[in-house]
Amino acid sequence: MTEILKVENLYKNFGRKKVLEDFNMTLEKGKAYGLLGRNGEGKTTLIRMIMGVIPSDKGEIFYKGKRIRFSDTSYKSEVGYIAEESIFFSWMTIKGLMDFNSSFYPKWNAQKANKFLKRFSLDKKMRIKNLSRGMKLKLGLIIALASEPELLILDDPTSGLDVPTRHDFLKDIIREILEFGTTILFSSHLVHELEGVIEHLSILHHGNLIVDEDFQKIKNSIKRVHILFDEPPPDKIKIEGILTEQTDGNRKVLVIYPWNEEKENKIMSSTSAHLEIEPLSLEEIFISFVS
Amino acid sequence: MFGKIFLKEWRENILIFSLAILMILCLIVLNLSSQKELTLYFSGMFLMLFLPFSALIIGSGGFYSEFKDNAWEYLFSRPIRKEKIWIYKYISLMSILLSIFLVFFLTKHFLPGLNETLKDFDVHSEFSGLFSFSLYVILPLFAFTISFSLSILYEKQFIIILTSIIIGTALGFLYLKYLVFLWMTYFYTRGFKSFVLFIALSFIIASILTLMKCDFSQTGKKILTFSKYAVIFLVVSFFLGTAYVTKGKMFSPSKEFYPYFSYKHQGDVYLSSFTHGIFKYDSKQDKLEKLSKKSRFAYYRFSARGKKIVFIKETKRKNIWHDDLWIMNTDGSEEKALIESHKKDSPFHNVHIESCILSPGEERVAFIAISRGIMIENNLPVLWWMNTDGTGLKSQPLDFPHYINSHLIAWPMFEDSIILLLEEKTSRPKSRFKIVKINFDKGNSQVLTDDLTRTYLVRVSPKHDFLAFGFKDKNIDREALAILNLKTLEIKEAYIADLLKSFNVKWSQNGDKIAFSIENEFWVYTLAENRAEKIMYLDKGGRLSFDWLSEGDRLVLAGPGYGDMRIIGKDLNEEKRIKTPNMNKNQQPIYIWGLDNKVLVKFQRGHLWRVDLETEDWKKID
Repeated sequence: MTEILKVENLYKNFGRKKVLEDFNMTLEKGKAYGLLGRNGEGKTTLIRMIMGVIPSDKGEIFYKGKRIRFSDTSYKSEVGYIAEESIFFSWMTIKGLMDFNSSFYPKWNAQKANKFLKRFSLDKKMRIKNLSRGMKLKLGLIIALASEPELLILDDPTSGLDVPTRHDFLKDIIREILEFGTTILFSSHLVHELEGVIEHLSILHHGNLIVDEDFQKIKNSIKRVHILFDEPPPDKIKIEGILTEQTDGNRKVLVIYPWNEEKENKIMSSTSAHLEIEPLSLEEIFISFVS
Repeated sequence: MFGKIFLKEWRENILIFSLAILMILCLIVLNLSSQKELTLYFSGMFLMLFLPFSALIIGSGGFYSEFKDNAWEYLFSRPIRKEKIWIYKYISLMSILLSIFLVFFLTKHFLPGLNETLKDFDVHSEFSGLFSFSLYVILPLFAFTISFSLSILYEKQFIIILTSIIIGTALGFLYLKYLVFLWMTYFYTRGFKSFVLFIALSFIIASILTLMKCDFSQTGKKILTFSKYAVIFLVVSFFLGTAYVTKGKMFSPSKEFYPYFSYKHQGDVYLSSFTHGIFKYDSKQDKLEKLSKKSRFAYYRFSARGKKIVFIKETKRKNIWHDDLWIMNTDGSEEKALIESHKKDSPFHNVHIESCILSPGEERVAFIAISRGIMIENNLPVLWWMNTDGTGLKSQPLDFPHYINSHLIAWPMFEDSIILLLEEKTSRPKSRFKIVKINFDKGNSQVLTDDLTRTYLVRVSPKHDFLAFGFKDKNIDREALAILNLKTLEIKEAYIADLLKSFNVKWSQNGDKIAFSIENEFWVYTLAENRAEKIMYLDKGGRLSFDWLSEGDRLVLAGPGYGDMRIIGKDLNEEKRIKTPNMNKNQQPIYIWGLDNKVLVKFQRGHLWRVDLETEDWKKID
């Protein structure tokens, strides 16, 4: 698998606040990446630095193996970007904005743009200032897709959308994009939406990735373990990889990553407790890692 | 891409443009209804208020929409270079201003009568050579550039406008102070041009670099980054501006050589540079030699015998310029101060010395002094004289209550008197000039004539026995070249003309002839014969420069547009022509000094050359 984007030893501060600290990430071509993190963890900052909107304080970003400087722009013609706030020039019409953007992208596909305009029921003559948030998102998506990007970066684009639109966007459009071999980096805090969409999970916490793994692999190896003791349970269970630990009477509930047979046998051998193992949803996985 | 940005910027600023067009339409209406006063007033408002403030508003709003809509993030995430965005926006907004100028100037040009009405605005400003109308374009463009450069820093236009005004004014003040420091205040035009250009460039570069390198979301960081780049480039621009202003001046004194403060003596030429001092072109060694150690000369005079020079040198103390009187030998030796008015204990402290002259025997020096702003004896000028060893200081107030300024012209050899040219204020618009004789032994003064014209061309003969000057013949209401015999005080009209236009006068070396030019005519007057003979008519050209060659009877003529240099022989016929090098529009000979078979030539760009009349060989001296 070839790398399309690589971030190495990235640092970014805003004043005294450290947002990213020695951050590293790699995106492989053709995959869908989910980037999760709590509010203010630096997801948008990272994306802005990738898009050359703001500079990093230190570190390197590589696109297709080539180092990107803050002033470089050529790679952006292959990168589609939908920001969290779809801000455009409010006085422009949809057509005007499309024309404005078409001049930047050599691979601009006007047919595709028109197709999506129809699909999203957007009239070209409408002014940006008269569009709702959802319409702006759709417009942003159309512009991003019409540029035929090799990498599509979406920064929490679905928040504020109604459920049917979100559903349509996530299930259908993302799948379509992936079929073309486009790499997607999807940043969101609406975690549950990413389930079924992403292939790779990255969780950003305290300036760095605490999880950067194949999503299915994580899902298979992170478990909630209920241990029902006969007597009051010990204060601490000596097992590696405990993300969360709760005690409720004689019951201990642990989230363990990675869960494996060895750990299961260890618990079983050390106690006479009863074990129940259950999988976690993406949301629960996320909460476990960041709480 | 550029087209989109161009349309966007025009769309966002269409209101200002429309307002400008409306104002121009009002101007048209006012002019057509012959409301001259109102037209002038309205034009003044438009040129001096509306244009500069429009420029500031347009410039300060350069990135306003990007700030307001947060569209900067959108724009910077597109595959377009940030410096391109900056440049496209700059050009687009500049085009709005230029369009306003274009409409205004076309209206001014084509609307009957408006050009004439607005003539009052179209005058030479203090920045000599720069017409006001060009100022009305340059200053708004400058203001626009500064405010646009700053507009990347902050979204509030009012703050940007205020900052631009403060910074622009402060920098202008600093730069002019800097020119004073360099003793280059008389190069205001050059300084102004370099200031506008280099300062504007500094801001442009600082702004672009800040946009390219800085985090646009962090205002503090942007301001710091911008300030850092701006300071660096401002320092560079000050050096570049200095180099431009002083181009050649620091290293080439010849740019400041003028015939008025030059003397020929025994085949050599003595030249004065305001900032570099007194120089001598040594004809035998064929090179320029610096005579005086000090610089910043206001005035210098040779003695009639040619062995000594007396000069006024300006010295600055606590921001005030003081006039010191110095004397030295012609070879530059024995340079000493006779009056040091910058010293507090000097009796001449805070006194302005206007002119000076040496006696024929070089044993005395006379000078005119007047106190600065202090009423002494009705603020009359005082004639002073002293021995050149510094002793024997004496004075005599000049009883001319309406005095403005004076100039010591001659110190005759045949009697103990001194001749000066005095300017007096009159009730008429123009002041009045007199030639006055002061008798040292009798202590009285005598007005020899007060009907002078072309007073800048009063020329004393080499032996200080005659004066040549422009003279208004009241009887026939025409001008004349007059010769005043300082012995007999008789005034003879050597040549009468309707007007002494483009007049210039040169005495021959032994004082028996005068060469003079009136417009395109070149004449020679012989004193003994009291006869003026027309030598030549030159059909085209600028100001003619001419001089006698040192042996006395031959002349050399040259000037812009006259082609080759001409040598006039003893018989006053053209003897030969000499080609001048670099004969193009911008490199013409403007001043010449005739020597022994050589001519020293100063060209338009200030370079000094020497030509040998026999070999026609040219050599660059400075």
